[in-house]
Amino acid sequence: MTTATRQPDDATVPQRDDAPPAGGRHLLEVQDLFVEFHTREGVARVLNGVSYDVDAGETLAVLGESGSGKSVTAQAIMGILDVPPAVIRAGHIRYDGRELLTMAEDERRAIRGAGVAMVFQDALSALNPVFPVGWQIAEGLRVREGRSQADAMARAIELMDRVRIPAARDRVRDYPHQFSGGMRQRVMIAMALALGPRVLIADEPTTALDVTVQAQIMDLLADLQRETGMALILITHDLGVVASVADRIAVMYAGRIVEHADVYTLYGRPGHPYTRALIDSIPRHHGRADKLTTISGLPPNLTRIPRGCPFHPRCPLRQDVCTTDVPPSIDLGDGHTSACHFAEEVFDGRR
Amino acid sequence: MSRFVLRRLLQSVLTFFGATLIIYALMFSVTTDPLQALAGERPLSPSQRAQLTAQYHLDEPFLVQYGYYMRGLLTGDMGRTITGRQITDVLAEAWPRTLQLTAITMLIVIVFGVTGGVFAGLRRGGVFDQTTLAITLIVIGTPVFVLGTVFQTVFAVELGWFRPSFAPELGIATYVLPAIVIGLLSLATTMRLTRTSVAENLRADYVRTANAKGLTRNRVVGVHVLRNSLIPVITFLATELGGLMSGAMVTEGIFNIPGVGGRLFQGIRLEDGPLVVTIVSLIILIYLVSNLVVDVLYAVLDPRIRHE
Repeated sequence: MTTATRQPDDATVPQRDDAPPAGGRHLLEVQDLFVEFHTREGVARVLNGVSYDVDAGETLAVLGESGSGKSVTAQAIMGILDVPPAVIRAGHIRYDGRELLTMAEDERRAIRGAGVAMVFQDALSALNPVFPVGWQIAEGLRVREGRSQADAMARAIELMDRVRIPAARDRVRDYPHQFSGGMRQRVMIAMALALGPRVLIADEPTTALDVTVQAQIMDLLADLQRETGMALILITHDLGVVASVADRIAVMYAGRIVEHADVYTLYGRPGHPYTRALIDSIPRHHGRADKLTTISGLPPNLTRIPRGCPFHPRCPLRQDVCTTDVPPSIDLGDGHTSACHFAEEVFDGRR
Repeated sequence: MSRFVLRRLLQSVLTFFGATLIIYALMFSVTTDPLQALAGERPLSPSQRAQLTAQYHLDEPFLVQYGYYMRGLLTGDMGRTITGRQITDVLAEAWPRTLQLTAITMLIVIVFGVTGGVFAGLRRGGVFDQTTLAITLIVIGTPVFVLGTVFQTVFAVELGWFRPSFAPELGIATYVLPAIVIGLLSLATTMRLTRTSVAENLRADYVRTANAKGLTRNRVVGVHVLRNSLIPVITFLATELGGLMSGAMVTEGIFNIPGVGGRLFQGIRLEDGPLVVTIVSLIILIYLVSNLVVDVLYAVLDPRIRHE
């Protein structure tokens, strides 16, 4: 499992540090993805060589601040980026060994929903306001699987039961605005599950919800994943949310993956100053309320990404080399990589 | 829902009486001597005058006269025009013409306005969009009487594609040019409204969701986008119905169509109080009904709006 951050002119192929699963490929694989947005203010380099992969039954959390490119990567996988303004400059996205970026639109559409499905952040705007929820869940079943109206509706009720919406049979004809935020998110999940996807991408599924409901939705996603054995990509900016569900975490910054590790390693021994700063900024619940720790500065403007390491203006460990050279992805063992010139020192706690 | 409709109906009744009262008062104040107008050039003897005054309740106070008038209207007796014709007969003759004209106008507005708007909205910034945008701007800025006269001169007199004035032997074809003139403004507005609505909805989050389901673009646009985009358009069209009917007035004048608008035009010139008040009351009624329909339609089209 490799996560690498590279420049497009970098000729070396990222080395895998563990044996690929049977069949020699991952279920879903993003490799060296470069995406730009052409705006009036100039070209925003939103993704600058993102690579990650995920296999059946595992959960990869993609962590980062707003604008780090987590959602854009997900939309590129789904093929629902608005092109233009978005342009995919380079890279590969493979599902089940098949390259999605060069695939014919019809083939690609067949993968959407049935192969890779997505749960969006704000269920109120992501659901169509003028159709009943049952209709929206059943739509994919009718159109894609050719089921009858009655059959699809019965299946929609089953799906609503499965995501634990109480009185599903009575609520199937209700409209999205008639549900609470948590229930609406469950409807979104039921809709995403309708065609039995092998990969589920959840894009900040709990951001719009209050804390107790967040926990319920995370539990639901974890349970569903266990039951179905699907791969789960969980996009979030909330370190607290991922700790209990994720197997691995990829930390994104300015369109790159700056660190990738399993959950325990990442929390215990981060190899990147950015990850360390993120962990330090989690509010602690003991003692008296001290001032919250924050990361000074702002994420870079993507139309003017700083030279060298994009994190250097905010980095407490900055050296001269950081302002000139883009750090390579350094292998720290056991699939742990960090794109920092001083990754080993950070990892060892020497810095 | 039914409580809402009931409440709206009661409001409509009040509006109806209020509006007709104002019209009646206006007509009452501008009419100098209705009896002389009735008699035309002939002199009226004092006894004739007394008899007619009693017959038309002209010596009664204003409100009593209005009361008599409304009683007649509500019992189906619209009274007589100042020239003695039954207003019911006048309307029975004029009404179908105006209805046909309005129906054809509406058809043109819906077919060209909505279709054009959808195309422009789907390719916002494209050649079709830019062209229609410019044309609709010109149309919206041009008064109906200018447009009517220009179209009459160019397409009927010069090019000879249409007849310049009403020709009943042509059937509905005779309404096409006037309908274009009446409908052009609504058509332009409909097109721009549809365009904006489609373009806006195309960017909505639920469209991304629909795409993520693996639906075809035709289905995403044809089902998800259209269903949402047409909510404001349909409600606009329903309110426009009343506007089209009153817009018909000027155009019927230009093209000499003896419809309701033409009669109203005539009535105002001849100070024919009963005729004007009756026709305007009918137009008010149409407005009220179409507004009520719009409110109910809104709730039907957009489930987020519930009239409790």
